[in-house]
Amino acid sequence: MLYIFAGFPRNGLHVGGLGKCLEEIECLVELEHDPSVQFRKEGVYTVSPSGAGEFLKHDDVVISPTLIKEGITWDWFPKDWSFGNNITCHKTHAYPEYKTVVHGTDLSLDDYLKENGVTTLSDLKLENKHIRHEGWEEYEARWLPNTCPQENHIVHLTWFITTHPIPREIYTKIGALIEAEDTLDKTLYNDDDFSISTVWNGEKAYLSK
Amino acid sequence: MPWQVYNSAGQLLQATDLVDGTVTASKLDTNAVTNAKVADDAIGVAELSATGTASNSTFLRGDNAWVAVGGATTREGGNTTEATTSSTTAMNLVTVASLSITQYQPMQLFVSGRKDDAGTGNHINIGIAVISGGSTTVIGEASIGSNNIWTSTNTDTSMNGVGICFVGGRASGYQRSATGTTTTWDTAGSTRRHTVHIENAGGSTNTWPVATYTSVILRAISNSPLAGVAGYSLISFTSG
Repeated sequence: MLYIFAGFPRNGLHVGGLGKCLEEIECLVELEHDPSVQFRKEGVYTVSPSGAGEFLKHDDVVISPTLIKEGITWDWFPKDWSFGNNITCHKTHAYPEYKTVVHGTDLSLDDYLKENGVTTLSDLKLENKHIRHEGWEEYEARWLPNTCPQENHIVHLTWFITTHPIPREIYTKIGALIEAEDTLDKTLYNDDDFSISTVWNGEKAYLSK
Repeated sequence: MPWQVYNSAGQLLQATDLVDGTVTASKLDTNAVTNAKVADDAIGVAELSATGTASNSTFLRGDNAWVAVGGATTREGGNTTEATTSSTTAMNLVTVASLSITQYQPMQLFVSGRKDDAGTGNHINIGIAVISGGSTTVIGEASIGSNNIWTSTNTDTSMNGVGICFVGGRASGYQRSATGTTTTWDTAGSTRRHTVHIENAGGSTNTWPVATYTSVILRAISNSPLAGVAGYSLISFTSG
């Protein structure tokens, strides 16, 4: 089973600390540790040391309601996407590209002057135009309609793979541990279970740069 | 002799005899106001005739136009978080999406990595894949024991370092164009530096696809679920 949550753990745990939390301290799940098991978009595969893989089975995926609300569904993950096993805090960067053009044209000011010769600049208006190239179109299509952020941003996700489905109440508790306000009893953890550079502010799965 | 105008007291008309705010621009001759007549620090941005919009992301160019800063497709900054994993099979750890890197465009990748000393895990490897034409192609698979873009190999020690990759333009039949270097430092004092093997790393036999790249993916793997943190942060990415 694959479980995907919004953001990085708000309590500051890195993947090692979160694994300790889920399996040793809170005893909430049994994570998939088998180094021959790789969860992909298309299903669960066996992987040999050489990297070759064989399809093993289809398995279920649970995506946090927070992510769906923000526009990230199963379609957000491209074909062949690899989730691996155990726990991952993943980030995806996206950058809409802009260029300055003469308003009403697709020409830069230099190109406009080359085509039109002497021009009174006060007659021109410039605008910052979004270049909707195939990379951006492909990325935007991964989101639910009209939800893709239109500025530079980074999407933060936390996912883990378990050996068995987890009950609803356990899922709710894990969701709170990762996405909600910090409710962790930090006296049960060591300092090196935390990573200040993985802390997420909890506002959105994506952060504007 | 020009006219001489006197006020009601029979004195030659002075500037002080004029009512404040009554001299209009049309009363001034063209080019009559010289530089010396303009007070220091008096001209504001709004008084300029430049095209475009003045803002904190534009500058005034010599052709009297406000233009955006930059112009190259340099992407940097904003990495205040790091991606981490304890996966023992290769997976997608960091992705740069929304790209349009055409076949002749070279690109550079700068990757920082670190591993803490918790647990027994020693190997942390990071490889690379691209999405081209809607399909993912793994160029150098993240694989334990492989000479990847970044690698840590020492047990029970904190390690960090950086990997740099240069990828050249591609054309059909000419699809092996990358090189790189990496440095890994551990707290025990040893440093590893080596040339990165990108194509064919980790058992991958793929070459760089020719069609436009829309995403670049850093793939990662550790050899122990107890490896603690294996952090990778794509700190800069440049193409052009």
